[in-house]
Amino acid sequence: MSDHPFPPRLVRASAGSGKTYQLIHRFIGLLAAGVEPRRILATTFTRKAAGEILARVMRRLAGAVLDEKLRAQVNEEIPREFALDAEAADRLLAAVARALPDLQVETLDAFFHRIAAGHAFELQLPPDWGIGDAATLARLRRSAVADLLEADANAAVELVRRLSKGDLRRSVTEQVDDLVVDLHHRWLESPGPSWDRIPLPPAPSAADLVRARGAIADAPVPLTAKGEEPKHWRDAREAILRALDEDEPQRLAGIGLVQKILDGELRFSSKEIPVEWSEALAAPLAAARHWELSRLIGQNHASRELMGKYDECERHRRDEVGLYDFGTVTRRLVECRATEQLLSAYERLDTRIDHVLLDEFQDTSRFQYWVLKPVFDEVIIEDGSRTFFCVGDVKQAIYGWRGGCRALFDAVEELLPDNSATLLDLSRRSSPIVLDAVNEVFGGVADTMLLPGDADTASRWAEDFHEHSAASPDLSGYVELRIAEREERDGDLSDRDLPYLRAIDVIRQIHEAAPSATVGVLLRRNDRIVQLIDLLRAEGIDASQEGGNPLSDSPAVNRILSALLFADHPGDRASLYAVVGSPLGGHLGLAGTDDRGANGSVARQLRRDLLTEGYGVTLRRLATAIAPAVGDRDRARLDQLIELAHRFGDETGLRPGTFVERVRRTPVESPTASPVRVMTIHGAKGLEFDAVVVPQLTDSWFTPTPTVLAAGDDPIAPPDRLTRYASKDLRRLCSEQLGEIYQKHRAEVITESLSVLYVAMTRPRHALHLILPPGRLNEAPTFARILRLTLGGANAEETGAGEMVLYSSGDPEWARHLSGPTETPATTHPSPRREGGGVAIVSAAPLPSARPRDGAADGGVPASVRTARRFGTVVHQLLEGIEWLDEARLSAQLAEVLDAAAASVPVLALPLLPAAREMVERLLTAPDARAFFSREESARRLAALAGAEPIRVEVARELPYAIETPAGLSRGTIDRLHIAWGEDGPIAAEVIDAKTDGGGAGEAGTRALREKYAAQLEAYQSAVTQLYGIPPERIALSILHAATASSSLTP
Amino acid sequence: MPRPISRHFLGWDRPPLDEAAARLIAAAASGVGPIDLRGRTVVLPGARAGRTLVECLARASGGRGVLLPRIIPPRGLLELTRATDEHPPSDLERRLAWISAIHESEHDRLADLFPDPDRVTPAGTARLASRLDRLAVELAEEGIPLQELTRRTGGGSVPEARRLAAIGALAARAAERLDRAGRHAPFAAQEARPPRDPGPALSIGLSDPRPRVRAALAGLASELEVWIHAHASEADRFGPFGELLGDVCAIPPIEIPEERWRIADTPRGQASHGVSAIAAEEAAGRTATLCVLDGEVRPLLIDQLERAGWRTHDAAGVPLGRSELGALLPALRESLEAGEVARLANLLRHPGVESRLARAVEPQSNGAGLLERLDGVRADRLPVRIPDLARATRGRPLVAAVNDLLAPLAGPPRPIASWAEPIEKIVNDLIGERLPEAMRERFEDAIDSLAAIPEAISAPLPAAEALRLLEGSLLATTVPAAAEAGALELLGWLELELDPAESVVVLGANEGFLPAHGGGPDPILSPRLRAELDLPDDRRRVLRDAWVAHALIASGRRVTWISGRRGDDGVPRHPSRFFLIENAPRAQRVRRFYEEKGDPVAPPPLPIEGISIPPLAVPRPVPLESPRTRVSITALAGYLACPYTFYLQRILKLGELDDRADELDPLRFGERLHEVLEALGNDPAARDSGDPAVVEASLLDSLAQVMRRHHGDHPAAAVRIQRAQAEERLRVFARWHADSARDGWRLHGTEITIPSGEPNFAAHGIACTLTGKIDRIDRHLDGERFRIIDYKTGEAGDSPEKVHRVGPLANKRWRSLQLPLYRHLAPLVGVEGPVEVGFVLLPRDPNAVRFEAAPWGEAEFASAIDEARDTLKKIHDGVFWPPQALSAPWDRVFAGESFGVRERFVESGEEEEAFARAESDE
Ligand code: SF4
Repeated sequence: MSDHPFPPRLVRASAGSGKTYQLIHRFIGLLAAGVEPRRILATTFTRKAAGEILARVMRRLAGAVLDEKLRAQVNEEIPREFALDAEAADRLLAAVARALPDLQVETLDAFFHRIAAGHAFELQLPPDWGIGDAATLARLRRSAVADLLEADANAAVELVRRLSKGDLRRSVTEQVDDLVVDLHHRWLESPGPSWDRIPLPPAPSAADLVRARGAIADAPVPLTAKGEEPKHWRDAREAILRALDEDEPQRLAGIGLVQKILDGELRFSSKEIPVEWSEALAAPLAAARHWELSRLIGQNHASRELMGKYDECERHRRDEVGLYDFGTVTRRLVECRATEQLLSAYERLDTRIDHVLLDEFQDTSRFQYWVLKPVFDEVIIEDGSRTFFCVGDVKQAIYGWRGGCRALFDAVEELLPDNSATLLDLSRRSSPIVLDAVNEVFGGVADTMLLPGDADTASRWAEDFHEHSAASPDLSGYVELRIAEREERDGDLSDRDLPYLRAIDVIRQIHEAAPSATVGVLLRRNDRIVQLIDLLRAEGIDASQEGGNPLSDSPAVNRILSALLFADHPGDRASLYAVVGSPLGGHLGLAGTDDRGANGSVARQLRRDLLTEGYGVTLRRLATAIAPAVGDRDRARLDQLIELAHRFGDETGLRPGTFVERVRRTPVESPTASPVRVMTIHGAKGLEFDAVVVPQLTDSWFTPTPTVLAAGDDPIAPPDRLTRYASKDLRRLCSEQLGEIYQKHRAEVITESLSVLYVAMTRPRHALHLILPPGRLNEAPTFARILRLTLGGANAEETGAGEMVLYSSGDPEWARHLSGPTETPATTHPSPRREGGGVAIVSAAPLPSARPRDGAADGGVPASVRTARRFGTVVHQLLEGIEWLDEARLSAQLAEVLDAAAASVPVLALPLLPAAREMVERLLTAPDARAFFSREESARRLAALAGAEPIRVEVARELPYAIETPAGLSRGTIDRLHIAWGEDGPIAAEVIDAKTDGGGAGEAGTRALREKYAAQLEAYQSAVTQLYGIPPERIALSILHAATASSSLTP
Repeated sequence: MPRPISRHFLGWDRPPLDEAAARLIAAAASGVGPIDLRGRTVVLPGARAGRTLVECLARASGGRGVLLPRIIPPRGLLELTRATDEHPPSDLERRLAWISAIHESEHDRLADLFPDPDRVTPAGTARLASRLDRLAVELAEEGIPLQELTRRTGGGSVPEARRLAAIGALAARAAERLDRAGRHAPFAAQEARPPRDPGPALSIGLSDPRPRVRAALAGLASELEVWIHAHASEADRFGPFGELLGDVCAIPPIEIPEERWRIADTPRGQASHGVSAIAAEEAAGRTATLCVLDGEVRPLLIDQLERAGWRTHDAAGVPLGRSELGALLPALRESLEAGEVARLANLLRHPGVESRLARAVEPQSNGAGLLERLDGVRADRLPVRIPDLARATRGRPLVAAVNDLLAPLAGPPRPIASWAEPIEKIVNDLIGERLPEAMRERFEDAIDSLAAIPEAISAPLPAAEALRLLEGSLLATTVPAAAEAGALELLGWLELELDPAESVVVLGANEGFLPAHGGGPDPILSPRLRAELDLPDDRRRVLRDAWVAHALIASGRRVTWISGRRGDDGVPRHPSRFFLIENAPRAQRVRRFYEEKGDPVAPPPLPIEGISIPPLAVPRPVPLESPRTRVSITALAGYLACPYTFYLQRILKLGELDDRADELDPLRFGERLHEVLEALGNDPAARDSGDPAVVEASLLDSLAQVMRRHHGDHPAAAVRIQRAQAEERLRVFARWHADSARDGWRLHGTEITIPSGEPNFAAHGIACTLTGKIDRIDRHLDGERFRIIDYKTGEAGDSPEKVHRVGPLANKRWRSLQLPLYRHLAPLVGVEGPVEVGFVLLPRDPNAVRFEAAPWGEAEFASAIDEARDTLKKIHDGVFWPPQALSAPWDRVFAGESFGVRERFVESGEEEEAFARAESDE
């Protein structure tokens, strides 16, 4: 054992024992020892939890700075030589703050994502790859299935074979999806020969079968008292013989007598089975086995082939859009051994990992482990320069179905030096009353199993269970196991539903005694959560789903969603009806459900608004229309809908229906969290409640049946034996070939189910209510059976006709001792803004731009608008190049000037140059227009205007000006400004604006142009007045109409 | 020859651009008339700063007015000084050149990039091209030609060197392509051409000029002044061009009065704090600007500001993707690329496309039914490919109209420039009138660029590729939002420094946003490589952001910082490290951030006061004009389940219609099977055959025909599977049918309509008409024995008892009356004598295919008929309220309403049980 302060350590921490607390202090200890924060990798499984780890480290350090008691607490938990004083704690806080961007406190997925981002090429990921959301990935999967079927018609048949049973509520698409996910996942883990491991026993010879038929026909039957062959026996023999005669030996396994023989039982139909029978049946059963197993082997083979092809299809689809899931990323990292090339990985991560801290390690998958393993190998050394720490609880490993592999926890322990593991069984959460029940149940769990194999599994599970004790022995508590009694008001409800109704009663009592007490209603499956919440609400108890419900629990939100569906599907008259019958109908201008023409336009306009204004703005408008008609709760939901609209409405594209789907799938916590939460036990992991109610205790652990059975000898290697699920009949017939693989599966199910029960029972602080439906003790392992046999004691066999409370302990009035007011968030609204509050606001007022866009013709949009605009720009550029043109050298000068100006025309406009040039040349050869470019003529005009001869005339081209006017800033660019100067300054000016757009020929066209640009020219006029002090009447305004080579003077 | 560069410091005393304007005016103020600043070039960090400077100049000139200098952003400087014969390629041309280069590369070269180049898809190629182009542009900003990547970097692993070499080779190819086309790539190594001289220049407030800009500044032939927003005493922090030097720690810590650091729990809470902070500034009479660093907060802030009565102007602009144009381009492309109905459905949802095509397809109804028509065909036939849609009579005109629309873009590859015109035309036709000015300009520029692409850059391409290129340069960009008088400004972080407002409210002041987060690991540029190339890295970004924060405070702005504790996914956020550095009351702040709670400010509510409208409710049934006496037998079950649903579905005839299904719903699946089973009655060879093979052949043959008729040659994946399922069921059914023929049963008729020309049922004195069709009647060879059969194709294969009656054994009630009524009405279809009624079940599990007779005695049948009478009376009397258990789609439409809760709960239990039963294997 090493003597440095941070030896490799693995902490087995029971529920509520504060495992994250351990990890936080290890982190702080390392910091205190001078480790650079960015050298520490700390991982867990959710982003929330990861953020929480960092927050807790910071909080803890801040506490240590400010509060002596907290500092002492921290120092208690870290090696003495690194004990902190306030100043040192503050330094650490600064160090963490500085390192914030480089900290590696994150989920495993995020960590892998980072590595993969730096290795996109090696991993054959496109450079801008990303993680797809669930809906997108599902869509890709469906496309891949379609591709598969297109390429291979038999694939459909193969898939159908697997669908004949299964959840009848779900659509074919959903089932195929699940099936493919499941099979594909298995295939990815074990793609090779693992699917061919079921041995095929030889078929008996025809002669053997003939002999066997004879033997069966002659086999003796125990007679009845009347000396007759009992009917059951007669039927059985007939059925056997018929199966043999029709050459369908596989039917044998379905015959009662044969089943008894296969099960090794000695009696059938209360008569002893003569030994001749099993001998005679040997050959036919071998034939049945051969038949069944050939089929199974064929199917396994087909499955593997199918998944190979499917994998190609899926890969192709994903590569096309560059979206993947975390699993794929992790697998590719394993495939290309990214972490083994650690040097390069570190380099691309811009960091090194010296210290590893892993939370919730029991949920790690094998693939994740293989990516991490090289890192482990590096840091698990004993000189203290690099350290390893890992915490988790195999008893809470309930994510096997998601790839979590509890055996990894033990495997890691193997990597560590001896005595690196510690146990934590002191619960800081639960009352001793609750823990007593937990100890009672899990201490005796092995004895509740009927089958020896199951009992072995349970005892193995229990090896990891050590008696729990309470950190606060005085915490009040109450535990009750009862059978739900039927009451008058239950009417014709079935027994199955009674536990839920009694649960509601219990919740009401708790809620009345202590309104702020939190209650978790934990279900094993998620099918009934929504209905149960509705029921609770109908009973007046505010309940919500952990993580929130989708917003469609609000009628008001639903009306808006209906409006969106209607926009997407104008023929959806069901949605339309709901909209019309709400304030939205009037708001949108929907008269009724019948006017298809008018309604179609409304739908189109709504789609257009969604596209151009965005979902947020449009939905706020709709919500504003409906809000006055609904109460607070709905209004809060409307607000949240608007929030979702802002969040992902604009990713929706052209189909409002996709947004609706997304809203329906997105759980949103209601703003005031209700103290009663309904959730699955899986969802409750990591949470705690004052009271926990579990009303779903009898359902089978073995449904749904898996698609594939898998087994392997090395728990941390992928399974090396796989087969499609074998039914009970088949297993009975082929126990030799299939028994072991099924047993492994069964053991896994039992192990995980025990963990689920453990998680459920360890959530409460004070009270645990376990409610059974009326009925007998199950034989198959269920929660109910375990609880009855461990807690129920003498009452275990009660059916509900007599004693109802099978176990109770503690203080049923515990809730009264719970105090603490409910928190109500402050609600001060900012006062709505007064109009014209007289306060200066930074203005984004449109600068009164004096130049409306040149070039756009009136009315409609010709296809050549673009060209017209660009063309106008080129013409202006050419004109800008001209200062004065004097008569004599016109053409030569013009060519020169235009050549020079042309050089500045951008390459994109070059194609327009010849035409523009031609127009300018035409313009300048027209006498009217040319007069504007002649210095002499200008001087003459300006003299007339000023009533005096100017000293000189100046020209400014493309004159940019800005000036403050009483109305605000005026800014513009004057194409051409001629200024006449007198003795004391400017005396007159002319503004010349060139226009290239149409406006039509002749007088009418000119007038149109003048009207169009009047405001612009007037703005120029007043600017020139202000800039040069020339009175407006001495400023001439002219439009140079390039298209018609004419000019016009504005009066 | 080095030219004099003079640095000047604007100081902290007044807003920097006011100071700059004053200095400019003072220097030019001699004489009369407008102050003439023409001939100078002023380089400012952004367009907004340019506008502000103009305002400042106009103000500073007094009434005289200013003739403006040339005001340009740094990028403009590059254009201004570029030699006139130098034609840089457009981004379209560059990307295209990259794509061509990738296509031309040998397999082995690409293998240096990817382990398996053959797997790279066309879309992957386009993405790689964009990535490489971005890299090239980024490097060009730094003055590094891409081909030099390998040369300039010494170390690195062998694979990395190979990868960089491969990229370099691609770059050389791309540059060569461009060169041949007369374009000079910014990433090509080229001789410097003599720059143009724009005259004397001045840069103001450029705190982070990139090397290329610095080079352009350095290369100016005339005088250059650099005006720096800082106090002269801080001169050491800046290089000759005003670039920040040194490290973050050299910048003084940000001082924040604690009351001006607000912390909210959620993004929404941050927005509310923003609103209240801005209201406070306003109330105090200060000009104020907002800056949102966290994208999640931005729309929420705008939303809340607008609710509270402000208008806003977001300097970030409007994303072009969020427009009719942004939606149209990809929709057009996808319709061209893949002949899938889903793409077409997308395209037709575009308002512009819909209104255009509506006139063509549905002239009589003004096109109202275009989408309804499409949805109808899709829901019915689930066509995947367009030819299968065109096969349906109702689908054909749609397909034709779309083909017409797309015709100008269809056809073989062409020189890419030649697609510009048809694309422009189609866009103008469809949305031209409604495209906002700024977007139109952007679009037209892009079209110009497309039209200008020389043929030498790329082989001819189909129109879809031209559209993809356009999307690449348009959709990610933004156009300036229309300005509105009196609107609140939302500025970007880097714009704040030169903004003149007295107060600033910064939202999203969290780690990751302040300072801005770097891009994370990159597959091409490793951190080592970045450092070696001296590329902008986190250090520089932090330096820049710290400087802005410092400048805001040093120049006396009142800054309110708002941070959030969590993002909108609930994931914890952390405070900006700027708040926790040296000398800060770090620990207190950490506690405040992590340990306190709550959103003390509530967001402005939706306006409701003063408006009174009736509360939202489920619409009540409207009394019927004439009582309903004609009812179909199967509809009665609907009434028994929920009278209101019956009213909606059967009286108002309302139903949902969408295209979400990708498989046959149970109803349609049943219809297909019924069609097949009906056809059996018309096949003389099979209808009474005792040979399962003959029956099976007949059934499968009809199935093939039926499926083909409805679903074409390429049915959806799920439909293929359903078809295979149907085959399985029919195979077993064939055996059952043959068995029953051998047992002496003969098909007496299929699809027998119950005569309903006149009333056929009396209900409490009301003459009613029941309508319906009997699936099948069998007659036994031995004489007057009949059985009336209803085919049930539901997945579960529920028995007649389960389908018809519900409740505890002692107290069952009817929930369907179908079989009893068939029996009751049998004489009307000529069935007299002993008759059995029952189901032939064809459930999911083919082994469960069987005939199951109704088990009831005379008394039960009679009670069913009584129930029918009562029910018909209620329908006649118009009793449709209250609802009981709404069924689809009404359970969805009216979800959240408080009726039917218990029914739904019970139902969920039944379903669960059925599931457990089906799945159980113990
Ligand atoms: S790490 Fe930060 S504080 Fe330290 S020298 Fe660099 S910039 Fe300054």
